[in-house]
Amino acid sequence: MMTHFGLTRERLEIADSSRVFFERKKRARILTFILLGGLAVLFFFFCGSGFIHIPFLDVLAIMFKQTSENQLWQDVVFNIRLPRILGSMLIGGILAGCGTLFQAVLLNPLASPFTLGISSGAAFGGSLALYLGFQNPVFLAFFWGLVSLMIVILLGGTRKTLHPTRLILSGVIVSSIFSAGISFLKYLFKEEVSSVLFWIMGSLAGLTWQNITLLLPFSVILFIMLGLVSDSLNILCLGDDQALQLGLNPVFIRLFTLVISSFAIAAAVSIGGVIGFVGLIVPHLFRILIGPDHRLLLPISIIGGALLLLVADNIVRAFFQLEIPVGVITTLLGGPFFCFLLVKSEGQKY
Amino acid sequence: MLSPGKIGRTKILMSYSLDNLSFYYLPKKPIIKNLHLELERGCSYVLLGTNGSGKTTFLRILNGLLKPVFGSIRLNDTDLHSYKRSKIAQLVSFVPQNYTVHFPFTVYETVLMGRYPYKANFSDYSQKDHQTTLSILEKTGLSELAYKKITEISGGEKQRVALARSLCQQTPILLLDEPFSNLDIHYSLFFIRLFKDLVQKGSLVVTSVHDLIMAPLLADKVLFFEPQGISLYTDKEKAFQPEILKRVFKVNIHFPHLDDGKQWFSSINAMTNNQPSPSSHVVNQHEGLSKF
Repeated sequence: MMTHFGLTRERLEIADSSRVFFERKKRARILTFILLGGLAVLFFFFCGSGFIHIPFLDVLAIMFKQTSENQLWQDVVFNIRLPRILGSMLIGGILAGCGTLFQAVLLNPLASPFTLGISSGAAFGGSLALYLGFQNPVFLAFFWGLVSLMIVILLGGTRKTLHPTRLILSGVIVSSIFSAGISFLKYLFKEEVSSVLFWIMGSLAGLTWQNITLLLPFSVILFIMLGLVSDSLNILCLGDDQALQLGLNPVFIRLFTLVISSFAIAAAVSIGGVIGFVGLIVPHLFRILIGPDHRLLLPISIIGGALLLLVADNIVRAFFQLEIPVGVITTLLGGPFFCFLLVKSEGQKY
Repeated sequence: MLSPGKIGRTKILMSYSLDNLSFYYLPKKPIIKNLHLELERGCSYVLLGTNGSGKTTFLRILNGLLKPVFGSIRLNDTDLHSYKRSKIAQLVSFVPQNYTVHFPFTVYETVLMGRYPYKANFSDYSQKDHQTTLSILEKTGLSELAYKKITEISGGEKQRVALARSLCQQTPILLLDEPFSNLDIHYSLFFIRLFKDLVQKGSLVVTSVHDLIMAPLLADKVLFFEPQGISLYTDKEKAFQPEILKRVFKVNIHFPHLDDGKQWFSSINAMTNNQPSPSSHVVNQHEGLSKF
């Protein structure tokens, strides 16, 4: 009887091999809504929590009516907490989205937004700005982030191709050169090294509305671009020849996505520093949950990354006595979690 | 509907025309020299030659992945390199020797990607695409594997997925680079049968093969790749003669003759008629398990 039952079930599954595909799609959609809901609730929750506690309903009142009896509360929410909360969400989304993108474009599950040295370049630029005594290190950091990507592309691309392994190799080289540059600057700094360190470790403390205006356009462009190319990224995973054979130019997609995303990454790093593991862990986590289809994976990764960094940064901000750089927290928690994922998904080849 | 046989016969039937084509990676070592060749639809070409004799290079030139150094290659009377890649993708599909997918897509998703050339930009795969994928999976005996991750199936299964993906592309021209290298004899014969059917319906199939048992079964015409050049044999009975095989491969090879004096591979239909029936395997497996 059992055998018979098992057989009919198998027959049914053979009759509709696409079922899992559509089920997975449904699951991804449900997960997206859950994550979006969580993001919205936590957004308002974190606006209220911190050194000055503001009740949840009052936060809503401040947000939607724009007026409040308590002028202090309004100032705290709008001028101090809101930019930082928005910033953490945007940076989290950028890092996770670009992590997913880089893993697909570089055909390497170990890739992260920092693989191609954009982060090291930006960190070097920022350190340089601090050393030279600039008030605002963001723009120099942004500029050097883009410079490093340009060097990587020039090194990694030959006349007609843009080979993933070459790109990664040149990324590693450029990255270590800039790291050495940072070390040199640290050495020159001597006593004042803490300001550089704090920033290199990744921290969102002191995010301003001015930072958000830099971040917002690049992240919007990035998210739209990711939506447009998500389908092509699937094809790219078949390898360059197969992609070309299916009518997709892999070199163009690679170059186009790398350039657009590097702006967003440079902006994110120049504002928040090098916040580790968000761009590596989030894509892997959701790839295990919903599979590698980038049309589902990219939006979920972006929302998941935003949620992760929002939570991490606000725990650092609201619940710890002294401000720990959030990059340290994400790496401290992310590293072991990543080990857990690796053990858990034993047998799954990437 | 116009049938290719009736109107503009020569023009529609002629698929590839290579004119004075030369190709080399290094000028000192020419791989293809001054090749004049026409490849017609409704015909199966088999490429034979030693390792590194340029079979894969030739397939990549036909696919437009490589540009000839001299000479021209025309597809349906138009220069191949003046086509858009997306247009070529609707005409030519290519199964490479090594098929690696870099992330754990399911077999279903991988085969579905064969519909990419027909999909409008930024839109989802249509119902028809899913239907085509399902029917191809069933046709190639992959329905049971549809859920499996491509990174977790065996080499032969992966090769079947690669072939299914290229069939899903539904192109009139198929270029296959050693498609049977990992397949068992059952599925090799099964796919040979399938490609022969396609050829009869007017497709052009160009295959590089090392297996000299499979090659005569699949071939209508044979291209030998030798250091001194490429030679075309339009009659496969003449191509698989010991002296020619000895010249190409430096090995003595004799095919047995049938009683009526014909080559054994003339009886291809008898050999490849048995279609695989995946469901029967399932039944056996379950019955076998239930005994324990």
